[in-house]
Amino acid sequence: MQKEDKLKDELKDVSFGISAKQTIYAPKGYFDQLPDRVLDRWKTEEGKSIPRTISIRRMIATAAVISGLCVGVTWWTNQYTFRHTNNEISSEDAYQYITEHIEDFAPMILESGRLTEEIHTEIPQSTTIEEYLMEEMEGEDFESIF
Amino acid sequence: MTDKAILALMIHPDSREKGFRQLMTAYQQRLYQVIRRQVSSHEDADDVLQNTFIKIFRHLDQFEYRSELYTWMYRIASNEVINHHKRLKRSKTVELNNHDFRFADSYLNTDQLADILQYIVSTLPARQQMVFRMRYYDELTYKQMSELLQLTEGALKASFHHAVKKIEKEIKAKQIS
Repeated sequence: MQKEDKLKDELKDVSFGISAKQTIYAPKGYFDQLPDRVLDRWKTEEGKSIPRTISIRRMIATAAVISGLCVGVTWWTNQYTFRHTNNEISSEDAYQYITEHIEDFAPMILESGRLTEEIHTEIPQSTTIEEYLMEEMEGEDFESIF
Repeated sequence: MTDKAILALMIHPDSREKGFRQLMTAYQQRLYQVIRRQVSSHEDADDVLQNTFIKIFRHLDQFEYRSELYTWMYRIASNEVINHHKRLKRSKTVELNNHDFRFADSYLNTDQLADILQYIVSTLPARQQMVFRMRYYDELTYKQMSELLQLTEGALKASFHHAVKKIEKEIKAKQIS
């Protein structure tokens, strides 16, 4: 504390003896008016931060911006949908794709080959076919069909 | 009216204005003295005090009841004083730097001397400035300052020491040798 006092004394010595603790009185009536002045200022400043009534011009501008946005979004959505629903592929593209990704189709090809083998049956002789057809015709004349 | 009652009035929109009036009536003179000792004119003190109250109203929801209401308001007032001197410094730097301080003592009145001291204080770093103002002008104890600024007493003493030494150096440099 002594060190502290010494510091303050030193400062007072060099600072021309300025009194730090002088009581300074406010002008007469100042404190009677201050609350009203501060409250008026506060109301004004707070009022500025609250949005005022929206002018017609601003409403029109806002409506125009919103309409523009809606049109833009609708157009973009349509474009997007069109692109994704009309994605026809040319035969050249399909062939190229299959060639490049042939390994992806290997299981399908193997599966396809197995099924073909399973359903493969002996081709009947031509006489057998004739007999079958004769039975179906029940004696009707072949040439009457034509 | 107690601080608690004033705060209760200020929280409710219907009684807010009444609360603000009560708050100002209760503390305007104390805060004015704090501010007036650190600025050179009544007009400046009025400006800083109004700013202080506006800030208090605006940030009342940030008061967390961890300190006394006056302590919180004092801190806001101190910040406003520093802001005021920052603004002044910008406009006065040229004027004071070009001014020849080496006159006879009779040329300088108390207001001018106070202005010079204020100017020198305003050139200090923010923390030293605040500590110096609280200790020198408001004669707060280190314990009070510690509560206000959330700093240790040791750190505050060191800041005050550095501030005083810098001010001494500046004043000596400007005095008649």
